[in-house]
Amino acid sequence: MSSKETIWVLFALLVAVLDLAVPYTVLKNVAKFSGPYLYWTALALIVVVFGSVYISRWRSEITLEGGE
Amino acid sequence: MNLAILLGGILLWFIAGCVASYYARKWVGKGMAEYFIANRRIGGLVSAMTYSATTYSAFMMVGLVGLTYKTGVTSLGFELTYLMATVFLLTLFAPRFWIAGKKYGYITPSELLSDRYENKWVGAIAAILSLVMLIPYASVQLMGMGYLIEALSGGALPFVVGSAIAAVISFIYSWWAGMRSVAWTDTIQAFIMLIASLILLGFVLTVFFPQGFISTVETETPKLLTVTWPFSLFIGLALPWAFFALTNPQVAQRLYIPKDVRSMKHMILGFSIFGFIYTIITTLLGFAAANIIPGLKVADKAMPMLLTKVPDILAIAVLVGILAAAVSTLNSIILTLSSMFARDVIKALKPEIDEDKELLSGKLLIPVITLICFAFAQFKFGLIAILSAMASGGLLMMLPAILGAFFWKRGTAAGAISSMAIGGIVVGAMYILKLKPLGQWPTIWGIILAAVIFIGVSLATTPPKKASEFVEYVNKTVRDLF
Repeated sequence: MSSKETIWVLFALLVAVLDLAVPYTVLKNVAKFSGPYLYWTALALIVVVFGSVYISRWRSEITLEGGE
Repeated sequence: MNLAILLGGILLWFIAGCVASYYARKWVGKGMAEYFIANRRIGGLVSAMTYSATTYSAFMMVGLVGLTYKTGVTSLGFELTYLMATVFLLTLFAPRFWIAGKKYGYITPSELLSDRYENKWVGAIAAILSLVMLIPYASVQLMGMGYLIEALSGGALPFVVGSAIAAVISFIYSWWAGMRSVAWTDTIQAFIMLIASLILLGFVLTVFFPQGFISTVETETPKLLTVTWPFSLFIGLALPWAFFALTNPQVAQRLYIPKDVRSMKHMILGFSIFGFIYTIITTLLGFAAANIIPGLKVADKAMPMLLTKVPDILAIAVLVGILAAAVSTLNSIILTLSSMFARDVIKALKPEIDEDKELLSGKLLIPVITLICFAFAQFKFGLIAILSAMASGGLLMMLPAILGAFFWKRGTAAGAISSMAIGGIVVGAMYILKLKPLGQWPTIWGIILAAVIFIGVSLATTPPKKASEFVEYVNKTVRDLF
């Protein structure tokens, strides 16, 4: 795994913690759209945007040794 | 609802799919790779849409709307957790599957396991586990369509007719030109799913919430905006779904189909955007239904009941959208299971058969698997719902073997086989017996058990020679991507 992938995996683990910890503690009983609803939506949007930035750095052409 | 308009809507959608399948047929060459993975020649948009339409089934517009109707915002959290996990998994594993598939010529995800672990039984066990777990899941799609069409036609089209319509269309789309017809029809169906649900949401929000949607929900149903699921339930349901992209062969097989890296990038990006928008739409519809038609005892009826409150033409567009979601998932499962059974069971056990016979056996399995799913659906077993819920949990037992294939050179065939077989049996038994030791769901216990068995047995046995070459080649090529 490259260092970029390692950082990406660590970010994924951080998101996993945030995905569970915040809605199940401080936001649990906030009965507003600005509570868990907005939080989960924003977190997912951040992952989608960061994911697109991450894959945008892939080279479009790679050489496969001995492929079909 | 007017029966003629209902049948007309279904017919229009069916004809559009047939036209796409007809043209897809012209592109199909010879051989297993051509038929089952379109010879790895699918562009970015079609890859993204077939991945999305395969992933998102009728569960979204029926099950998730009902779940949100009943339990509120936690349903959104559960579904977005799945989306976030899939984005991470695709960015890490899509290039690995794609590179390995191109280098070694894999057609099915289980073939990758057989080759990497140098043991045909690894792929055969994975194929059989997938068959056992996915047939109930596929049957539930047919049951959902049977009930929905029966309800919207006022009983004029009984359950058996509705489920037969979905089964026949799924068969035609998958059999006609294999992956190409499935991918092309999936693309049409993905757009129908998204556009129909978006129009419904727009209509519902403007017509039923003149005082404002947000203020109405916050005032009338504030409880739905709080987190109501117990933590163990959230983990128990989210964990198997989080790894869906790796453990469900009908989506994992799609990681072989992009024609180049650019198409693979578009596939991941397109799926991410589709999934985000579709999840937001379906959960908002659940909140809306809770305010428009409160008090339903069966939450899954929220969407059918909501459709009785909107103009017929819109209801039919949405019904076709739900049918499209069911069929696009079902035809992909049928095609993938057929390819796995042909490649990982028949070919693995009878290696002397040539590719033409292997392909023929795969094609013959398409109607057989469709019929099994249809027959299963007709029983309307309560057990099918349990088996369907079990599907993602049971398939999760393949996770240690899949992760080990890519990252752990010490992983062995004995470890892979024993973890999948024992894990699958234990999880299946726990679901059927409704066992939840210490309040935790069977998947939690199952995945711990499968991981321990995989590591323990692998350490006690000798790794295959291919392991080092495979792991080093794939990981080195992924590093070269940057």
